[in-house]
Amino acid sequence: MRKLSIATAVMCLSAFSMNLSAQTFTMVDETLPSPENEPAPVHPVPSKRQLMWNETEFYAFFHYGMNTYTNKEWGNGGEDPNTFAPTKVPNPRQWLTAVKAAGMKGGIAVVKHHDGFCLWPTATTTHNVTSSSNANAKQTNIPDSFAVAARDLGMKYGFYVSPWDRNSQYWGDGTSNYTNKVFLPQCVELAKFGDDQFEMWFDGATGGDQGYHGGAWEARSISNATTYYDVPNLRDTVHAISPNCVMWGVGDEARWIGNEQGWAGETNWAMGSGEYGSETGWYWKAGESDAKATSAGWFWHSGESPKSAAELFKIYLETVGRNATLILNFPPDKSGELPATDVKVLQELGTMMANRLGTDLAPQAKLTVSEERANGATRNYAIRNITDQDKDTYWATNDGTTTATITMEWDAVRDLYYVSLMEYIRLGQRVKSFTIETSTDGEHWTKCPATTTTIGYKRIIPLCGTTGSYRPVKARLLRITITDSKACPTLHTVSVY
Amino acid sequence: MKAKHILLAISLLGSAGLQAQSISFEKEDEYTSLSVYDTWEESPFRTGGISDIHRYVAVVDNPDKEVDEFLGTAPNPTGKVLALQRSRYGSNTFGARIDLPQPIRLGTATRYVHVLIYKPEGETTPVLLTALGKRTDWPYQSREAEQLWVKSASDIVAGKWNDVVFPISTNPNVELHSLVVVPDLSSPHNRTTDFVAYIDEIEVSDNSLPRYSLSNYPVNFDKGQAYTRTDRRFTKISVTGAGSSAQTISFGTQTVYRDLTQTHFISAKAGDVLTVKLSQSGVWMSGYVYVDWGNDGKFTPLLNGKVPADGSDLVSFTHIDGYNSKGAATNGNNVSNGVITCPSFTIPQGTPSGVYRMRCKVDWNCADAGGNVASDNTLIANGGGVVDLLLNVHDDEVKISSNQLNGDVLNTDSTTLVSRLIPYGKSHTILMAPAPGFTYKGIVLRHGYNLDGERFVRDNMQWTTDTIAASRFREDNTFTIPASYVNGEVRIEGLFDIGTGVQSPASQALSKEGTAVVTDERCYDLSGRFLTSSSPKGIYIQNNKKYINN
Repeated sequence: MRKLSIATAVMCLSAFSMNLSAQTFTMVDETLPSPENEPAPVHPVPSKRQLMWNETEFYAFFHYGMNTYTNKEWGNGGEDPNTFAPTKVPNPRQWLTAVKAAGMKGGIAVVKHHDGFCLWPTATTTHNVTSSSNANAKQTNIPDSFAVAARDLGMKYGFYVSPWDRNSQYWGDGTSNYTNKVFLPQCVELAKFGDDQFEMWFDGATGGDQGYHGGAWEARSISNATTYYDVPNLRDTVHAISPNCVMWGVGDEARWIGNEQGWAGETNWAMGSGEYGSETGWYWKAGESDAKATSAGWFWHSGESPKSAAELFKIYLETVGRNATLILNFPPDKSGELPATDVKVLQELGTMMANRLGTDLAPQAKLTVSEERANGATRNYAIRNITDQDKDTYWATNDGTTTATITMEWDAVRDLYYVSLMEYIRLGQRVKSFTIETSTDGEHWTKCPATTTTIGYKRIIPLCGTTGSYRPVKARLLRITITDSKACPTLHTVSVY
Repeated sequence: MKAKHILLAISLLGSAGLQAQSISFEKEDEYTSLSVYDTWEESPFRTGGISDIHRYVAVVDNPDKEVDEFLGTAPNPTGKVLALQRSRYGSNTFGARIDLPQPIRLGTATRYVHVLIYKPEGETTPVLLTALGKRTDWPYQSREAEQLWVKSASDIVAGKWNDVVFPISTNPNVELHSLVVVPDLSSPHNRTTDFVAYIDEIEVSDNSLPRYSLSNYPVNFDKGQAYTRTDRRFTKISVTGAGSSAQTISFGTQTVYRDLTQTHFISAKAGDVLTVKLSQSGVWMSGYVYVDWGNDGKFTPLLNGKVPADGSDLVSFTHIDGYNSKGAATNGNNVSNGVITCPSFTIPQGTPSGVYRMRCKVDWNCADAGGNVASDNTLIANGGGVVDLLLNVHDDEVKISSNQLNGDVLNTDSTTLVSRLIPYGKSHTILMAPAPGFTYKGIVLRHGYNLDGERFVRDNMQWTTDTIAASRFREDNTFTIPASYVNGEVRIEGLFDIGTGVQSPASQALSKEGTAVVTDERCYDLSGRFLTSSSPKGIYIQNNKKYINN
């Protein structure tokens, strides 16, 4: 190291608090107090906004736009704005009301798909609703009406905006013009529709097909979506306006579950990629499963029909019940509303959800546990915390204990269908495997045949062993044995239905 | 040349017109501030739980200037380094923050941050590079926006200085004001103590290859890495030379990397034109073939424009930046009916006979033999694979020789086999001729290259030894050396012996002592001496069994 003048050295010492004359490093001897005796986090852990996003659990996707009127899934960007001709003023309140009946807590509205047609009066392009000659189109402002309706209904909301824009002359032209002049400003406009948004959805398409591109009709592509769209600063900007808005996909705060069939792995970590995630992933990126509730495409197509409530309930169990969120697509039709058949099946699904998962028997059970963590100054880690309906209290074992047994006992034999477990993921996803057993007498136990590996935010185990059946197991006792965990397990809720 | 000079030279070579930026911690003006950073928003280093965060870093003396046995030089002989106390209260992304006096602007190109990292023994997790910065055209934006996170492709070697390379790219409008080096990407929840990691010689350049490697033929991921995708597998290699049938190697697909160098080699001659086909399930992937012509333990890709330069270890590829190794345009979707056909390449005339490490790789748009590490296109995430095998460059004829005592190894015409040439890859018959009073127990064959040298050079197996027992010889004392053994020079050692002594059948136990069975085959006289054929002739009785020495 070069010798310093005294003046410089004093300056550096005061600025950096470094001991420049030290030859070896002297470790700081620092122990932080732990009056509440909380377990150390198992990293990675979710951010506050990721936690809030996870709690949304089940929400809707509404694919609506130019494709609704062209019978396409991907428009090429050359569509005449007059083609967007709703027969009524689009009604997001009807969409959200319908999906709320099914138990959904929010929704994501597509406001610009790959064709580039914007469903709000944006300043970034003339290819938007205001350019249509249709009177209903001119009254259309999906982001605004969607956000207002969601707030009125007490639901969460967010927007899908396609980075790929086959209408824009700038997209993929080898410059930064598209990102700087079109895409980032569009995202800012959308963020400003509400600082309470929970998710912004970016499809990762990087082009390749021919598009209109201002009349050039070229096949364009980009090689690196993250740098082209400047995702880090997109994220920074949106968070500055809407701090709890998770950036999906390329935004790196929530991941695609790896399929569009509506299932996640029974082993599913909130890190890594795909259906199963990775136990060793270094950052939190929980899975979101996007699935179609109807028989045709993501957009509405004539003659389509919805899946049955039973099929949708199975999807729910295999996504929300496997540590993923579920974004279930219901496409509005040309009237700008959800078809009556879709509304009906949503009501049926809501009824089924209420019937099957609406009555939690756990609070009625006597609880015993192999170990409870020592109390802190003002909080405890007692087993009763798992049935108190408070997501901020939790049960835990002492440090070093990575196995545990929780037993629930009712006063009489009951018909049991599902067990739902939720980890206190603010401290990281910890449980690696567990078992569930039932008994009528406390002496003879039957092991649930389902695969019982990870838990995560939520895990719903069908006691009959399969998500496709609704059969009870008769039991007076239910025993949950955590057989392996990265550290002391933490559960905030266990429900039995 | 001292390591620092080596680093500089490589840096200049790799810069290709773009000036490298470096921080050696030898001068204070190389940085504006040193502290720590944690991406975890509830970190006590962010919330104020730990207030004097600067105490967790300091510039100190280099703790390890020693010569590395593998490298033969000191990888980091510099005087000062940055020390970081890895606090157990920080998250898995807690690291040393270096604020830069001049921001880094990358433009549109991917560049590479090289960092020397030294971690104590027992600490082997991957490491991470984070960068903080802002857009140049947003004056209102803080410089604290996290611009990138790049995980090292594999664990580093504990107790040594490692050169870790992080590929970085940003939007052209971004400038980086701080770098954060995270030395321990594991969760600290089970830690009861902290440790000190050391950081040095940070350099931003265009050089994608490590300035040195602590192992031969590295890959950019752990060699035990399992496939993370179920839809893609690299399953087979087929190599065809002009006028010869294909040499095909199928392999298991448990792991992304397969080292087949001790079991599989491809035979060819200098001047041969080879075509390599790689079987791959999946689409939009490309093939790459490397040969370490210099036997220096690494594959060095050299491009002359769009095609391999003379001497390049990258000899064939189907896609790099829109072109294959013949210079033909391609979109990179090079899998056709499950096969990637790599353009043919020629083994240079004059290539000395010997074994050369050959690597076949399925990847996406990547010249690096270790595999693509770009965050949006890693070899692992794309379901690629890497297989190493040996290329045996041979002459038409190879030398065969014998050398032993107490007998001769003969040619089939009864002339003594001392040294001669025989056709490569063809079986060869020998005849054993023990000296009077001797017999033979078999032969030891050493075959391959550099027979007097180390068996493994740069982890490449040079030769193999096989023992052929007398029982495998014919009654006329001849034996045909299999063609597969004639894969280079062949050296025979005849095993001639003065006799087998007086032996009892191996299956017979001669006595029992307690519960232990003594299986000594041999016979002893009353003095306990082992009897051999040179012992006095006669009949011996031991444990009621008769042995004859005639």
